[in-house]
Amino acid sequence: MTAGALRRAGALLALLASAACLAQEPQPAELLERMSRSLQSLEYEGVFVYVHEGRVDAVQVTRTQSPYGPVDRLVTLSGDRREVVRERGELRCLTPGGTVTASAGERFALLAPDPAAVGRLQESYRFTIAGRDRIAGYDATVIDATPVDALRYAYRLWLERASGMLLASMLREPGGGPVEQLAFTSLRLRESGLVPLDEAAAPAPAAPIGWQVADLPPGFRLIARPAAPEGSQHLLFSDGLASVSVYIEPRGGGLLGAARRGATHAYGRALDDAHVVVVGDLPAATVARIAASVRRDG
Amino acid sequence: MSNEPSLREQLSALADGELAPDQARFLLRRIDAEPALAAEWQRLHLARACLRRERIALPDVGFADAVAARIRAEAAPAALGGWRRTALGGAIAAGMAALALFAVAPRTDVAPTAAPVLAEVAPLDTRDLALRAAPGELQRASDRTWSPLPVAAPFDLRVESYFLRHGGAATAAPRGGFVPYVNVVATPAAAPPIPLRDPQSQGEAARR
Amino acid sequence: MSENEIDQALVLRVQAGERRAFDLLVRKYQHKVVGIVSRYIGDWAECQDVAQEAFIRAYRALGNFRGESAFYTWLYKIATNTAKNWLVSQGRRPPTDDVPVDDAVHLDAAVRLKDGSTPERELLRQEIEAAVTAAVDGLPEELKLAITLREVDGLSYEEIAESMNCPIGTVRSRIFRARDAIDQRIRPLLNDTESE
Repeated sequence: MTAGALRRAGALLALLASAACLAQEPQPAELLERMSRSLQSLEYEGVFVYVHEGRVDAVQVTRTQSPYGPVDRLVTLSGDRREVVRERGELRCLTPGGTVTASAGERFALLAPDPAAVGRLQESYRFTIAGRDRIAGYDATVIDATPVDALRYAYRLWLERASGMLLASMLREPGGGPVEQLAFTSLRLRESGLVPLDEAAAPAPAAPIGWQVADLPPGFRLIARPAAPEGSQHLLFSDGLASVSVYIEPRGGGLLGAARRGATHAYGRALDDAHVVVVGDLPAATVARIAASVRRDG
Repeated sequence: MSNEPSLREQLSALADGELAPDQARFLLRRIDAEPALAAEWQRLHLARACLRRERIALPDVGFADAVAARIRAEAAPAALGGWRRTALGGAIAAGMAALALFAVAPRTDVAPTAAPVLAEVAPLDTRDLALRAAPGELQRASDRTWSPLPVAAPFDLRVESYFLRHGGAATAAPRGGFVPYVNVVATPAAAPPIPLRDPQSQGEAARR
Repeated sequence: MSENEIDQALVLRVQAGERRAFDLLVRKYQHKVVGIVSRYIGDWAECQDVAQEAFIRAYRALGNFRGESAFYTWLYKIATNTAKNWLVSQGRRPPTDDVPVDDAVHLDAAVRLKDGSTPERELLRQEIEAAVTAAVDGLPEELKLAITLREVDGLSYEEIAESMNCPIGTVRSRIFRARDAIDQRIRPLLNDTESE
């Protein structure tokens, strides 16, 4: 065990000790694991409010599980009607401006039920229990995830105590105000009884990339290579809480410069005969920095 | 039916993992183009399973073709379809004109009709959000002067598809896992919300 | 290159966006996957649908496949869990005992007919099995030995060459000739319906 690992283990113990004050409160790590696992079997329907960029939206969400995978449906109840449906491997986004469809990958548990996965998370965030709360009628444990650097958001997560379901969340800029807040106002949770397809954590994909993302924030790893059109690549990196997509496409791609959706930022640039677009749940500066660091391997 | 013995012999070696990588690559491409080779590959493994006395069942005729057809059908990772008009109401082509507009941060675009009169929205947020652990934070941005209401980002399906695909893949963030695509659905809307002068007149507006 | 490594090479191609490489994995494993699913789901048509679904879900999940475990072990898990979930969604209870991954147990026909196979398909399967056995029995001794060392004992060409005291090229050609002989016996059985 390295000194760093020992320090981290020590920090974890200290965290455990402080958390023990809150009698029978689940540990942050435990809750995050539970959350990760329950993603695959929970069914729910509810309405959440979503505060972003000076707007408040109300969104209705339902998730049912089927042997053909989860079925998600989100519909905005405010503003223009926008709808996202995920079913049988297809994502459809219906908006007043048109429809976009994309293929949806399978979601496997992100965090393996092993301490190593949680340990990796602690490379990037310090976890503390902020207290208890009640959201949409459910008891929540509130967890703060404070990033170790200024490259990512700080998270406050309200997790349902039994299932680990996310009841509310707040994302803050490093040292700044909230960039995005979300909370269920009504919610019904059900356990579907279906088993996850593969209990293992999302593993690192094996294929060589041919590209280098030279300046990823520490703690980020390649976790998936979702299907992409031939000649293009989609690389997904994550530090366990935040994730960032890197799209590498033939020249003539769709975004030059910056774009934003709530706390998700995008940045696109041309690179030789390719086009690079980075989309991440990260501050704008981090996303731009990642985009600037993409280069060909070797 | 392929009558080329060397190619079939290579197929046999490929199934055993005994073909040099460059030959394997070449052969795999040949199989893609030659259904007879693919069928032979299939029979070879059926025979292998029999020799190993593995538990097997014969699938429907055309099983593999049916799977391949479904994969082709869903293979386009970002198909753009049915797009008609931008959220701002004008027809624009998917392309650079739209991208240039899109790259502008939403806050700097002020809808000419939207600026005044939106006094009642914020107090509602804090109550409903139940963010008691962090009181006051929500209002910070706008508790003295109202920032202009954000208008819609001009709609560009290609840009939209990046966010959509990211939302589809990003299971990492807990928010992305439980309320996926939230950033996709909740893009600032085009039409400014109906001004809330006071609750009563809003009720009247609704009845009308 | 082991069998796992071949699968891995195909997986890499799929991950790199070559979707057709997945077809070879389907053709390679379809008999086994339908065999697994049929253990859970007795109805033939349902069994086919669920097996197809298992492949589709594996395809979608391939972006997450790590390559640390064998592809077939992973596919096996997806197939069993897809079948179990199908039963749950139908209000039926899936069996609690799992078949071991490397289930090479040969079950008799009476047991088999209880699972997802039509009598015709089951009959055909038995015919094919018999044809394979007959073909191997009829092979010249050196071809028979080569194919047995390869398919049953899982030896590499190099190991077989050593054991048979001949060059690797000869091993390769003997194995091919053995397979060709087997293929000539089973192709007509499948030909009228499913071979191009």
